[in-house]
Amino acid sequence: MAEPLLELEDVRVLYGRLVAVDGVSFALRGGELLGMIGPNGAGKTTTLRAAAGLQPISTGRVRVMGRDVFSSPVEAGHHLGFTPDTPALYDTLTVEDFLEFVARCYGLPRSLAAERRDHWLSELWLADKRKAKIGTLSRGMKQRLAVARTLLPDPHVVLLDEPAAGLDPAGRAQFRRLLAGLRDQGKALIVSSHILADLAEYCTHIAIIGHGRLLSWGTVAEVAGATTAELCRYQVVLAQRVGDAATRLASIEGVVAVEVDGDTLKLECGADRLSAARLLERLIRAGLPVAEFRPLRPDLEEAYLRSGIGQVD
Amino acid sequence: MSVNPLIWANYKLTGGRRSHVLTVVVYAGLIAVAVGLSYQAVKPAEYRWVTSVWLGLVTAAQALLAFLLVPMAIRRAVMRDFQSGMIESHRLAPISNGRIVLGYLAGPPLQAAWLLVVGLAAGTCLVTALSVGGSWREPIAWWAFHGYLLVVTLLVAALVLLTALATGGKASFLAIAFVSAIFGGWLAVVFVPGLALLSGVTLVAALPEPVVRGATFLAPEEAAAVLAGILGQLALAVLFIKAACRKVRAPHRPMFDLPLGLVLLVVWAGALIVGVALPGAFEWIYEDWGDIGIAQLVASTAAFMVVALFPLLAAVSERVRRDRARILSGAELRGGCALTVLMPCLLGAATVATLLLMASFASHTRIPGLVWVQRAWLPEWPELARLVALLVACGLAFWINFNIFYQFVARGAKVLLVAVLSLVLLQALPLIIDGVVLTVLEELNRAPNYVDLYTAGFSPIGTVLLCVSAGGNPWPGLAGQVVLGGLAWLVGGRARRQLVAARGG
Repeated sequence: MAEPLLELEDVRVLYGRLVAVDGVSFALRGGELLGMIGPNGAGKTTTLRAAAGLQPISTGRVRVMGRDVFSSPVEAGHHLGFTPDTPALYDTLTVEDFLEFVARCYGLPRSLAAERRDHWLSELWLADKRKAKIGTLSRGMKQRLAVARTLLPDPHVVLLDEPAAGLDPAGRAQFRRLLAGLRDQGKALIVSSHILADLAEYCTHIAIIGHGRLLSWGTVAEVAGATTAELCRYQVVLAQRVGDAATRLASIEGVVAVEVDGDTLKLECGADRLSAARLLERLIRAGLPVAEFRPLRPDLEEAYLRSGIGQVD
Repeated sequence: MSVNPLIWANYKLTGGRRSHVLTVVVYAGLIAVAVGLSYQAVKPAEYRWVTSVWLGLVTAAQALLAFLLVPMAIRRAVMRDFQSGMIESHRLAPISNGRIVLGYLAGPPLQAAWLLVVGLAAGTCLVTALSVGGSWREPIAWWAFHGYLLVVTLLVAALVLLTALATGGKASFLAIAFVSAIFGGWLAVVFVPGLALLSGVTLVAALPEPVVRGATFLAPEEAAAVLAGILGQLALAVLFIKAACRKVRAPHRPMFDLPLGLVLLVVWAGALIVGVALPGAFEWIYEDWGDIGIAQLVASTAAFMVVALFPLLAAVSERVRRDRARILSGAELRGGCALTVLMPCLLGAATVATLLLMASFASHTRIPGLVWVQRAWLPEWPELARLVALLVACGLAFWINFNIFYQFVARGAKVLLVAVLSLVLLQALPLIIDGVVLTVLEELNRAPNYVDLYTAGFSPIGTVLLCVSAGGNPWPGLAGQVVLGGLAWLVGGRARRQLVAARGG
């Protein structure tokens, strides 16, 4: 198994007597994208800031590419990118100058810096704003520029706190593609967001945080279905209602957790394509008039509500 | 090596090349036109006088730029970066703390620095015009003045940067210094000769002479004070810069860590001792104040105790960190544990040692009551008794503060206000009350007790005063301080129990 790019080990953050993060531990490898969900005040931002070395921790350890972010911030800084929920920018600089400043901070050679700057400005729909003063940009544009600032040095670990908050629907769709692309490049990413449907689409892992604790952690399928990654939920819509549908389904090998609601059936079976094809074949053989058959995306919202955490005051 | 990114950013933020060139051209043009016009307005015989006036004006402008504009630009840049969140962007980037601090020291005041260079060039022209027979003496003095200006500017800038980094740019060191000077803070220079030494008053008073009149008049004692002052300023500037480097990525930690705080204390103690040992260098400051030898000794000891709060706070923070780690994860952090616990005793002993050293170097004729202190290095009873009283009072003062600070640090609260309150209530108030009582009794012709005083003994500074004065009895007040120490112990114990409670979340 590949070495983790980011490791959090028993991290605790105290604000005076308030325990904001309580013994959080996890590790992320290249190609893993962790979606962090939880109510406001649950400790998501604090955890992300601690992972970035910005939030002092009371106990524990945070390592990026094996380097402690607190004792070796300069070495760790080469591999780490963090975008806070409120973009940190110099309003009186132009977009181009700001990114040149960032490139200088990371010691990028001039030609490489110019190449990357052009790439990210184009990727994040900011190419025509390169000469604009940052103060004149909309909130969504500033958010995209903050993401460009994070990605310009090409870090191995990327931490994004509510990155889609200021984006319009088109921007969100584009952003989902961007994150999936970064994940496929082998980066380790953490994204904190309240938009659970988006997270289910591009995340490999999900962490549910409540009261500073890691309440649930695993792959999207594991967390959403609270089951193993080998099983998948399928929805079957029948052409007409069948009275003994449940009995017929129970007789099919490999089918578990059956729910029948009128002409709609929900069941769990193997997640691979071959299992899906066999299931469909057996449903038809069992005499069920299948009008629609589709695998259900893991339902994070349900899992989130099931975790029993409410809004934190 | 590439240009420091923060210097580059601040250069861009202040308008870039166009703005900087324009500033230099306008300033240089203004000086040239004004000087030229004033020469045209007078007779040739008055040219020398006009040049002197302009030199004085340029000198004042240089001082204003160095002491006001440079620190202000630094503080505003830090405040801007805290408010915009860019400070975190700097922390995330792989730039060393030293480069970030250098960026703040050199980047924001770039425009002021150009103006200083213009002023230096203009002053050199004026001084050269003034020099008799093409002598190099005046220009060298002018450049020496700028060398000194650079040292003091570095010290002030470092202090302003450190304060700004510690408070997010909200607190202005210059404003604090100005307000405290208005409310009598300038008296500190009179009563703490070490502060006079570090503020460079001797050199500031002496420098205009060779520049304007072409004469030097530093007496040997003054020259020694100037040299010691410059060394002290450089040492403090380096310490403040090191502390600022630490503060860049550790905003939650105290300004000085334990080693840095102790070095600061050693430099401060050195300045206090040299200040007392060279009274002739500052005679002109306090010649109208009469015999204030004992007051200077006590005030210098109090000044030592104030600065000693920095290493004490560092020890408290380290102690809280260790206790927290032990309680939360059962981990015992290695090294330096005993030092944090023993710090109040160590600082108490250091205070008494500094007092004794100051007393040893102080003039016998100025402070007759010090005979016993000078014998205290090889004490006999009753010198030993006074020494014990001093050690107990100073050690207790730090121990009380240690426990109070622990309570606030454990809660994650700011300690600055607590430290000020502690200084006012526990150290200054008993002396202030005595001052009022003595004045009232004197007004009523009631023969006030100047020997034992009334409430002063309840303050550690009061104990110092009673011990260095002939015939004072420190023991009743010391008993009161022991009671306060007991209360502080209870406060500290409560804070430690609350740390344990935090584990439960």
